[in-house]
Amino acid sequence: MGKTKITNRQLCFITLGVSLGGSVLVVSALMASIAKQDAWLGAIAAVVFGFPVIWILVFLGRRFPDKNYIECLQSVWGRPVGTVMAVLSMNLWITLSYHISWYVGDFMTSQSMPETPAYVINLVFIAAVAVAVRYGLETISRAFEIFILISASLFLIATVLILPNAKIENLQPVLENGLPAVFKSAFFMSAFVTYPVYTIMMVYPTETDDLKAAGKNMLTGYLFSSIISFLAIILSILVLGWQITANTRYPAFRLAKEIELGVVFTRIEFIIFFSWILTQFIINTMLFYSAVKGIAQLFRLKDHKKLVLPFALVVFVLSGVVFPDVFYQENWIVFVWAPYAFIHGFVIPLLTIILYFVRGGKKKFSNSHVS
Amino acid sequence: MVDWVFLILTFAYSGILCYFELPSMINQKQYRELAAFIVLLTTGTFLGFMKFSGKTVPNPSDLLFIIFSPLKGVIESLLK
Repeated sequence: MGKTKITNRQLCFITLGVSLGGSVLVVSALMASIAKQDAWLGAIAAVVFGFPVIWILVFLGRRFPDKNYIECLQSVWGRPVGTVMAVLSMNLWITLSYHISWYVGDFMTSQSMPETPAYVINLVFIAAVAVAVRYGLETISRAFEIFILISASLFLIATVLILPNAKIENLQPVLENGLPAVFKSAFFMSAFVTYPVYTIMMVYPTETDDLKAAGKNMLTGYLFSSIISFLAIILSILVLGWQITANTRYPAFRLAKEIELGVVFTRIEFIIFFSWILTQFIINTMLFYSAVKGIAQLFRLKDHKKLVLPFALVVFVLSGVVFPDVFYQENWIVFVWAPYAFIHGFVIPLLTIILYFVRGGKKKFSNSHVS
Repeated sequence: MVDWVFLILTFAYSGILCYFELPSMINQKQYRELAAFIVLLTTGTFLGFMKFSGKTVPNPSDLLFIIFSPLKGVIESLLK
């Protein structure tokens, strides 16, 4: 029915980008404040817990090969309830697409360009995102292939350069605060790394070619992003120690400031900066795409591209409204984002899969995708 | 000062967008698209006008704070 648009390799990279997006620079501070020097164990726990969650999404995609997430929810839950579920899920994409822009603006103004108004940076960033979405999914996924490679190699360079500063004493004593603290920190890590992955359910079953391989590629992408997040967390603790990690706003960036290459190369930390901006661009583009596509789907429009530019204006204005200050943002990601992402990225897909089996599983739904 | 620039930019942007997008949608009789386009653009322009003329814009994050406030105790126990 629908024609294939993206290859499996691109799907793998999109998953990597979406999963890595918000986390790599921000989450280690939160984790270190809960689990102290054991935050890296929390990262491993979160990653292991994440695989079943991604598998639920892969399973839903395989059972509904020509439906995207919104249609899938509508057919499992029935039209009225499914629409409510879809609106809730879409609300997270809309919310997050101006949050990410806020993060970019805040990061730029607080770390490198303090006199520039954040709105100017948001304007440039959102203009790029809107233009990307307007070009269409094929173009953005081809661009992501390049961006991810640049971003990952820059990150690896930074990792290698920082290794001489690592002190193993910073990890000791292991499990001083007990296992509960580790699992508590893993809960917050999942909210950043695992749950946002459901965004690619707007792409995964309908726009990919080989379904079986596509699921495998999603899991591979998730694995790579978990490795990078894990490295960012463990290196922050190894080099900075948990006290500094917990009290810094952007620990991975602070970490890269420790890199010293003599007097010739200074301010090496901007390779982390560049790498981070690229991943932010990827996640924001995917969220923006899913939000616009979802709105178009819900109102049964044929052409979602017409909505891109007006939606960009809404995102742009709200990107400066959403967090009045840093304390508000820190409270928000703990008290709202963690349960919010948990409900949308884990509870709703889990309930959907349970309901799918309760209502008769394959027998009932296998003939529905013909129509 | 910057706010004034953005206020003008917001109106200019929505004006230009209407000029380029509306005729093609009307010609192709895409009335559903047209309605969604107008609703989104009006929301954006209104929010931009509120924000850049110095009025307080309702913050969607506050609403989520209120919705998730019953869970606050649970999260606090996770933080310790």
